[in-house]
Amino acid sequence: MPQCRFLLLISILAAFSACSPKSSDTASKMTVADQAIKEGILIRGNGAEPQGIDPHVVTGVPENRIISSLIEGLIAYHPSDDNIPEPGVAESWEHNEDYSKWVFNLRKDALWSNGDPVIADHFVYSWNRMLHPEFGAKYSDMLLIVKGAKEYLSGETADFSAVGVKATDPHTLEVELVGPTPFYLSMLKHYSWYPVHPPTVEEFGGMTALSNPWTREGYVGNGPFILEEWIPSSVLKVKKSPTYWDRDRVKLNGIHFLPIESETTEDRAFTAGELHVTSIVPSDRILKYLEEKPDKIHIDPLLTVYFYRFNVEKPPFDDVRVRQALSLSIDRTSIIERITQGGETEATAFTPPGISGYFPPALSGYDPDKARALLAEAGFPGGEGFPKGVEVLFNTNESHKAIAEAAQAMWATELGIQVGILNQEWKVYINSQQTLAYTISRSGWQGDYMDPYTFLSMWTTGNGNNNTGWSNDEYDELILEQAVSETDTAKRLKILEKAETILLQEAPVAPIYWYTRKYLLDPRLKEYNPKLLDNRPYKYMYFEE
Amino acid sequence: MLRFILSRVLQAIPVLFIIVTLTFFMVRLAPGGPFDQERAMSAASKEAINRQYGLDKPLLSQYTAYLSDLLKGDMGPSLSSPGRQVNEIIFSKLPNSIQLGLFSLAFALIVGIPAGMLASLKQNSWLDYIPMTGAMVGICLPTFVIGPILSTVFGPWLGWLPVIGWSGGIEFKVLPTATLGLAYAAYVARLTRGGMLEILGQDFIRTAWAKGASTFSVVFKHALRGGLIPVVSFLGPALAGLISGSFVVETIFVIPGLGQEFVNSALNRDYFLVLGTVLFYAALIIVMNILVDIAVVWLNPRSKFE
Amino acid sequence: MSASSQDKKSKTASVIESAALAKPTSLWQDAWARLFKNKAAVAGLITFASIAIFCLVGPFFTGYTERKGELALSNSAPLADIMKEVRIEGNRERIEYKSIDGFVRSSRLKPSVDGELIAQQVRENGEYQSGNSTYTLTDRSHLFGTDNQGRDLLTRIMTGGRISLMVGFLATSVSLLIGVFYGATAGYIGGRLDATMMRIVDILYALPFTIFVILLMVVFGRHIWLLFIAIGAVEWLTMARIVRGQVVAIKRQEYVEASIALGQKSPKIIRKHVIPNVLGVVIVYSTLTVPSVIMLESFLSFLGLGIQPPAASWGTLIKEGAESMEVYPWQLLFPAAFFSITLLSLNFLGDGLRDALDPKNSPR
Repeated sequence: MPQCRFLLLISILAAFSACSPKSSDTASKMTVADQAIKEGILIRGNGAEPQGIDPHVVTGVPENRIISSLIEGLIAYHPSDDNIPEPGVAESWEHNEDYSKWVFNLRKDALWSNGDPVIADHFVYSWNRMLHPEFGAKYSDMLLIVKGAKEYLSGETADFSAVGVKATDPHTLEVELVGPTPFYLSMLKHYSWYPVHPPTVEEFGGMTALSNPWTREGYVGNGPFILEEWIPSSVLKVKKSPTYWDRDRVKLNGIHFLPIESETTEDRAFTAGELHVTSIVPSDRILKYLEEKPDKIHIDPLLTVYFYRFNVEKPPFDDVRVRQALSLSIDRTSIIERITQGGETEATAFTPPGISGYFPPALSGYDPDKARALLAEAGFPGGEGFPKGVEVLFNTNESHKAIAEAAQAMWATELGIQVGILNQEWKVYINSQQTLAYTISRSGWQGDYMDPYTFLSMWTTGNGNNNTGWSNDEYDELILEQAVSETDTAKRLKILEKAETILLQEAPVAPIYWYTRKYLLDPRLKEYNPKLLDNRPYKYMYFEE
Repeated sequence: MLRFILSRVLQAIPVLFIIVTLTFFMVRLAPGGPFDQERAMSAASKEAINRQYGLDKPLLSQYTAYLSDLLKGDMGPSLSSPGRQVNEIIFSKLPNSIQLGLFSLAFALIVGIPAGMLASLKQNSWLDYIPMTGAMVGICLPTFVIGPILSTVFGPWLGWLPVIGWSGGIEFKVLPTATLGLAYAAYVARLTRGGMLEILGQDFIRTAWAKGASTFSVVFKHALRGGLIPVVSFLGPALAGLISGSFVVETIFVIPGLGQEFVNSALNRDYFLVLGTVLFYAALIIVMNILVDIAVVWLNPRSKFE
Repeated sequence: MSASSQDKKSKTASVIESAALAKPTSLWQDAWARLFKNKAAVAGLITFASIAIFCLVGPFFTGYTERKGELALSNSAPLADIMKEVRIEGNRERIEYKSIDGFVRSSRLKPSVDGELIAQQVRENGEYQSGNSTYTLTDRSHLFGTDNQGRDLLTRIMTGGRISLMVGFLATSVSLLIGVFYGATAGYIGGRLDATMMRIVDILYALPFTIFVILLMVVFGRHIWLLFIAIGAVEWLTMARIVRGQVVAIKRQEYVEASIALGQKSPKIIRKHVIPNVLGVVIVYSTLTVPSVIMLESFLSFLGLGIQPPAASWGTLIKEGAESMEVYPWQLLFPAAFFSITLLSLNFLGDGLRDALDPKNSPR
């Protein structure tokens, strides 16, 4: 008897899956998205609820998407190419021969949203805030390339005037860096270098208060949009700024950022016509969209790498051959085609492609025969005697799990070794990774600026982001001595290529793939261009019916 | 009855104190801190953050400082959303959670109690099997299955109801209420049936049947009160759970409710927010349980307050 | 037929009769007899037993294992035609199994491969060669389709069922034992002890479960028995409250008060009056606990406790299936079906047991 009614359930579920969405029906109706287009409002899915919108306090992608509409730095985002510096608050700039001293000429018509002019002193104040030893900015190390910044942050000197940033007049900012930094302009696009409005920050709690409520009680920005309303976990609305210097170029009247954490919910909201852009596409729907709605799905390459760390302090990964063997036996193509399915690229190096002038060496990729030989050389022929208790650690997530299961199966088939799988909740995972309490650990790294340094400097001995125990004198020498003193850009990139070759041969990490950004986009929204750093300047976007 | 309430409220004070104390030390013992992130932070910055929130002091003095703030009604700052206070977070999200909770409860009772009653009166007949099967299916299919199905059908396919959001007209409330309510309706129906059968078998009911009382009068005058006791015992904690929000339903429908704060605060190791939400939930549990105990006495005139 | 389906008059008659007869038959003998007269309960028992046997023995007969999959065969539909592709890559031969439909779909996005043609040829001739690849039709088939790693879903449902049924029963038993004992003690003794015990329940209700589980793992590692402790620790609380409420109510019944007044000893009162009257609600609530325990297990695996991949449980299968239900509905449908049928049968069995043990139905 129960089975009869169970059949009913099956048929309901089957109907659910067989039935195809009636898009024609919804098209005839005016959707939320249609209405918003009439009003010039962009509605976008924005992942997790932002922790805040103070550029010096928060970190994270959803936060950045909002802040970049509210505040503009010295250098702005280019509409389509991250390698090109676009004038922001700085109208023009000069640098000395070795790229260690910079002068920025600020535009005179740059205004805060309350009408105050944006002046060079505001940048001095903002960078002082970022580096203040009592403040505790999470991204303070981005600014450590400024001369004297390290001493100021650690409290060795209490005098900020000793730090290499000066306002020589209201519209001239001089910066002195610790060494040659040809990629400085690209770094400046990062929100840790953004200005804040000093009188406002002072009014609501002072320079060094982390829980300063100015962002909610009196947000003053200098970007193309101003904060209109923020209902936590519901919506954050911004509207076109009347004081922005380039306001004539801004087409959108406003943007609504919706914090939608669930990928499938976001997907439904888009299909139901409640969004113009999503932040992601659930990976098992990508193929379906590519077939059925190729005009809506977009897959853009990112400057981000997915990789496995090996703990080189623990046997068997103290042996480079074992690390190489495991890396060589991962069939990356299958993982990309069958699991992630989002047009990712097989990672043949650690640094993703796209940085102008940099051509990383290519890894030998998938070679199970060589892997078996290496493993046998290391003393584990056919996987015999391979230590038990080797586990792939990852933070709980379906995709990480699927990749780990696939790698586990590949290692078992090709090398004859049994590797376990261990998932941990995010904070525990971070803790395990940073204390080297793992054997293999899944990781990802996103570039902050357009230079290989953002990917390679972390592997120097004892770097806070190394977390593998790997140390190589030659590598350290190349990264910490040669690369930072070389003034010729092309030669400098060659040095970095050499360093990356060492990294790949030594294999403390096994790069797996280079990420892509997958999202659904209403075809009526224009100028939402692919960007390697995933920064899409809203200033240029507009709707076209 | 007043004495009963008073004594229970007095008992609540040590209970809350123990909960705060245990929670305070539990969250601190868990690996990973509120400011740990994938990208390492400079040591100077980390120290500065800890100083800002007083986390550099000895644990015991942090504990006493927290208690003294708490007595003043201040639950401290949120560590994961800088610039926000725990009080503010809880009270800004509470109204939505209460609404969702009460709507779902109403749904659960309106569907669950009649279904359970019917099943108990027609025990082992189709009128028993069908609603009970439905109830079991409701229990077996978790909200993360039912929610997306309802949402897909009424959102993208039919275009009748919005799929995200809560504030606004009644159309925003329907799907979340139904999703959350269905799960509870199933429990209510099962427990009602069980409780009713218990009572219907008792001598005084048999006597009433024997005296020729109508089904209506037997059920509503005699049986229902006692039959609902298990439901009411279940509802105390359940209602506390409903009001404190449902993480899954809030996430599926993008509702700014408390459920997400419960889960995320623990995952973020947002120490003060964890304490705030736990304290709030504990207070709610205590109040609900007092109400339940009062209700049980009212439903069963033979029992006394104790 | 059980007593309640008789009409009212015969019911009262039987009450009077049984009171007069008062034959001392064993409670359990009667209960068994009544249970087997209840058709729904028997159906439930048979269904449940067959599912348990199915899960236990089935994996030996499917021809596939829980762990080993063919990545190229991931997410293939139930009973899809499967072909074998042998591809020469340099000096290596690569063998992959693919579902023909899936192959056609993915080839639409690759202009270099004419998927339709290959599929048609393979279906007609059983074999086809194109470039470096040879395609052969195989008789490999997956009744319930495959999961995202190309593993046989049927096998995984069966091995997952072993785990889930074990977790469901052990954890429910733990919560049942603790909850009934605790609730009954508090309710029966009453007074200050009752108040203290119930306030302890309040405290345990409120403690943050996520943090509790994380701490358990920090202290004890990732043992499987922690799973039962963690689940037992939360699930007994409501049980205890419900039992206590019921016991307090029974204690106030006239006949119990009378026995107390007559000087009967507590153990006898508990055995004769309290336990039989509580049993019904306990059984009902237990059948409600089993599903929530099974789903709770999948939450614990989120925190890293419990079943670790590549092993699966019904909870994790349903959870994963729910995420891809629009694209690969069978990945939700089949695990959910097994889960639901099992619990339905358990539920009818539970109801039958409740009725059978109901002292009001027994001749007294």
